[in-house]
Parts: sequence; structure tokens; C-alpha cells
Amino acid sequence: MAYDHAVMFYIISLMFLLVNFYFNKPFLQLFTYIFAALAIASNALQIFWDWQHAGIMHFYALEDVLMLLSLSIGIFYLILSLRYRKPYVGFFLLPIATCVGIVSLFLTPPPIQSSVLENRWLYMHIPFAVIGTAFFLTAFAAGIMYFVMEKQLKEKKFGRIFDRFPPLAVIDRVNNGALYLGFAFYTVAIFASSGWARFKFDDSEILDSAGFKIKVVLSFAAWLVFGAIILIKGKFGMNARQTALASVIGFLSVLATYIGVVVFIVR
Amino acid sequence: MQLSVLGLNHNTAPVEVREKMAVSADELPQMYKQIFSDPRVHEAVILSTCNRVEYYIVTVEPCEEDEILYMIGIGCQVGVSLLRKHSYIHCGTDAVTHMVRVASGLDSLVLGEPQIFGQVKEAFRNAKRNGAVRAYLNRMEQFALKTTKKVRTDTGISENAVSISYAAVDLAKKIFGSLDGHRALIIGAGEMCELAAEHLDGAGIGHITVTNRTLSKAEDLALRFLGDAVPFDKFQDILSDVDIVISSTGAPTAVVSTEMVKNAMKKRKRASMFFIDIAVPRDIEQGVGDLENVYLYDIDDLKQVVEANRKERENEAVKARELISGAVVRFERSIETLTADPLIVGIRNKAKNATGEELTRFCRKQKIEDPEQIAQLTYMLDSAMNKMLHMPTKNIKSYIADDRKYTMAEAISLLFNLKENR
Repeated sequence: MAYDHAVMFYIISLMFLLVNFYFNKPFLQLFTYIFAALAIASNALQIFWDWQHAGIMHFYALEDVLMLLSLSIGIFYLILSLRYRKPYVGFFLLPIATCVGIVSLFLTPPPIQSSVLENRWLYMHIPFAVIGTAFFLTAFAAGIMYFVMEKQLKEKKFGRIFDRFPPLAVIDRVNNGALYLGFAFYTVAIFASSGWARFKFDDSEILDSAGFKIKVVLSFAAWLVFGAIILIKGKFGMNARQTALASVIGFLSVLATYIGVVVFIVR
Repeated sequence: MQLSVLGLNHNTAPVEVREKMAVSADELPQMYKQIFSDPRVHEAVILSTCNRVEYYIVTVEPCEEDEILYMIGIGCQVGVSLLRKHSYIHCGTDAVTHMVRVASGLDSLVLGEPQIFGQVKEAFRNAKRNGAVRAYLNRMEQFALKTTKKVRTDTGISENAVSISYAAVDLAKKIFGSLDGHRALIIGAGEMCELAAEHLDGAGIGHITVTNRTLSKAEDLALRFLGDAVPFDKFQDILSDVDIVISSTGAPTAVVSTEMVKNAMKKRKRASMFFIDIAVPRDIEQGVGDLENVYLYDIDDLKQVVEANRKERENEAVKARELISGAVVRFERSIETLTADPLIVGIRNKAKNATGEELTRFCRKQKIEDPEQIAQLTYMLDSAMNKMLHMPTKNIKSYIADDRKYTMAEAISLLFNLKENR
């Protein structure tokens, strides 16, 4: 129930963000923040309630994963906006959090009960993977924002986007931070998942399925892509534009992982 | 009490007249002395900047525009007739509104410019130093400064650059965010370059390098901003070290070629570079703007930014004027109580003297000499006096602007709230 409210607050906050993008008034911005904060609180409350109710943190359904993902993105939006005092620095994050929230509302959890899904390694793997993904999503959004802003600057379009979007250097800072943190979280998630895979389960149908194997390969591929980006960045250096491009390409590989999960495992 | 203003500014008077009317800091005491030689003048403030000279005077009785003109014009170098031709006079509410508009930058050459706020504050400081400010202008100062701050925070009147050089710095911020730690190269040492350097310095640029065909001029400019100068034929060697290049030379052909920038970009691993070309004919080849991570703007681009910002400020100015009108109405209402102050002070002084005299007489008669006892009696008498005067004081302030006619009995009854007590 709290999650319904969270999605409603995300939608209202997004509406204020869009209206404010046109009018640029401080009080509209304040409302955006207030509703985003309410959405985050309701979202967190739902996850906490589910946890208390079931006695364990269960993330065996895509619905739960998306709930955690919308919470992470919502928090990132608020932190970035307040940290940089630029209301549109997370401009693309709020629509993403809202969309993720709406999608998860339409999903019904499958009645899966398996010892495979009640393992402490999994409790570690999924939150880290989801938060890592939220970071990659933030880097992806920053990458897109970089190209949009660059286009305004190159083509000398001094309109609303030029006026509202943060400077290229700020977008680059957000991109870099999200990229490094995302990789760190994703690395922990990958290690946790390998620990989980070493367990011998009584009913290991899920682990033996072809879909699961594809998911493992895709996740590892995504980790390798981001690892390669960070390695190249550290070793040879990358300018802001190259980093933005790498973030966009990198995230598309993570997206492929999740499509793999949806197609091959949950459904 | 009435506030009036006689002034001239960039819209009403040419610079020759404005400079004759200008009052330097040294001349202020003499000028105030001259204004106060007219017994009708109660308070005064002189505001003298490069674009305006204004005399604000407070008179006890309302004055006609001509009277104001002669009050100020007699002592001025330009003479009354020329002053009449080039000046404006506002009285009462219009004068109050004018002062706040001036302080808010709504009447400035560059709409919404913030320097005038400091100049108004300085004018009041000088007037106080010359003993020209009393109750009315004290309140007026507080009101003008408070309202100006509100205008600046509630409207976007001071936002967005409206000068070419400031717009250039604003654009640089759109790429680099803070300019702290970044390096700038200024090609040329003319007025535009000087202004650009000033704005860059104000925005906190890390380092400024100047180059010019005449090295000594470059060195002079660089010295002002604690930067360094390089010979004109050597500037391409440091091109890869700078993030911002602002060029304004009189060269007939381009001084920065695409090839130069290409090489510099290679050396700096294609980190963003920002070029501003304020020269006509242009100093930087157009191909530079097509390079990846290089942003090139010329004078027309900057004019476009400035024009858009100016329109934006004009829209905000409408809101600012509305805000000021509302505030002035409230100020006028509050200032009406000001005429009550001398009355209240007079009544209280009389009461204080009477209680003092009675206390002395009583102590002498009763042979009371103990200071503690005298202090207790003084306290008791003061308390009684304050209690007695509290209601009439409050009512004087409330009814001072009431222009209805009352009989003496009604007035006393109103003053002491006697109807309620009956």
C-alpha cells in the first residue's frame, strides 16, 4: 500500500519538476523536493514493511528488485540536486524512478519458494547489484545529459535546456562518481553471487536452468565492460565526452543483463 | 513631512551637465551646508554617481516643484534654467518610489545592476556623517535597503549577464562550472580584454596569461590580475595549458588557427577548451568551433545571449515595480506615525519633569535622604507615569493620521479610552 503512495508521490514530484523546468520558480522546486522525499520515505517504508512481515529480505521477484531500484534512483536524485544545488542535475533520474515504480506496480510476484532464494549470499548479491545498477543508470543519465548540453553549447541554442542544465564539468563529475561507485557495488555483487553459486541446494532447478546461466554470462559481461571502461580511464585517461559515451554504452550492457533476467528467469 | 527628489541621470542629461552637477566626497560637507541654509529643509541625502546626481530633501511642509528647483538650483554650477531642462522632480509617494527603484537598479543604465545599492548605502552614510539624516530619512533608508534586498531575492532582476564580457564569463561557467583552478589566455590588451579579465578575476579564475603585440601592455594588464604575460609570437606554445581563450585584437586576419588548436587539443588529451572571439574582424578561425570538445563563440553569439538576458530582466523589472508599489503604500502608512513622535516625546518629558519635581519636594518635606528609599519612590512614580501614559501614547500613534473632526471632549475620550471604562 505504501508503495502505491510512493509511486503517486514520484509522479507528482515529476510533474512539479517538468512544470518548474518551464517556469523555474523556487517554490515549484521546493514542491519537487518535498514530493520526491515523500516518495522515497514511502518506498523505503514498503521495503521495510515487507521485510518485517516476511521475516527476511526477499528479492526473488522482479517486483521487489524494481522497488529497491526506484528507491535507490530516487535517493540519488535528491542527493545530487541538494549536493550540487542545481535542481536539474538529476533531471533524467526522476522520470526513470517513476517509470520503474509504475512498472513494478503492474507486476505480480511469482509464488516461488526455494531454499536457493533464501541464502545470505543472495541477500548481499541483490541489493549490491541493484544499487550498482542505480549508479550505472545515473552515469547513463549523466552521459545523455552531457550530450544534450554539449549540443546546446555547440549549436549555440540559448534556450531553456541551456539555461537549466548544469555545466558540463558538473555533469562529468556526476558521471565519474556514479561510474566508480557503480563498479565498486557491482563488483561486490559479482563476488557475492559467486559465493551463492558455490552452495549446494536441495532444489537447484533455478541454478541449473539455461536462463540462469545466460544471466550469469550477461552480468559478468556487464561487469567486464565497466571494468574495461575504468581500466582505460585510469590507464590512458578519458576526457568528459569519452566518459559520457562510455557510460551510455556501458549501461546498455547492464540493460541487456536485466532483459536477460526478465526473459529467461522470472517469466 | 514630505520627501522630494531633484535629480538628473543618463536619460535626462548629457555627460557635460552631469559632470558639472556631480558632487565629490570632499564637496559634500559644503553642499549639505548650502542645502540646510534654507530653513524649510529638515533632512537631506545627496546621491552622486557617474550616471546620476540626486538630491533627496525632507521638508516639514509640502513644497511645490518650483520651490524644490530653486532650493537646490541656486547653489548649483549649472544654473536653474539648465537644471530645469535636464532634471526631474518627484514629491511625496513618487519620491519614495523613485528612491527604492534607484536602489534596486531599476533606473540604472544597465537594468538591475547591483553597484547602485552600495552607492545608495554610501550616500546615506555620508549624509549621517554630515548630520543630515533624522527620523524620516532613517526610516527611509531602512525601508529602501530592505525593499531592495527583497526585490533582488524575489525577482530575477540581477540574474543573467547583460554585458558582452560578463556574458563571456557566464558561458565559460556553463562549461567548466566553477572557474577556480582553470587558466585563461587573453589575446590583446584593449578595453574589452581588460573588462573580460576583470570578470574572469571576479569569477575566481585560477590564472590569467596575457599576450599582446606590445608586450609592455600585456605585462601591465597581467600585473593587475597577478598573472603573467607572454610575447605574441609565443602564445601558441602555452595554448594547450589554458582552458579559456578570450581574444580581442585589431588584427586584420585570424591570429588563432584551427591547426594551432588541433595541436593544443592533442597535447591536452582533448579536454574541453572554450574560445571567445570579441574582435571584428574575427581573430579565431571558424574551423576551431568544429573541433571536438572545443566551444567557440563570437561577438554576435554573445550579443544574442545579452539580448535574451536583457529581455528576461525587463520581464523581471515589471514584477519588481509591482513589489515596490505595494511596499511603498505600507511605508507611507507607517511613516504617518512619525509626526506623533515629537508629541509623545513632549508629553513624556513634561510628565517626567513633573514627577521629578514632586519627588524632590516630597523628599525635602519628609526629610527623606536614604538613596534606597528615594530609588524606590522614583521607581513607583515612573511606573505610575508609564501606566498612565501607555494608553494615550498608543492612541496618539493610531489616530495621528485620522483627519476627522472631533470635539475636545471626544478627543480626550478617544485618547484615554474613556468610553470603554464608562
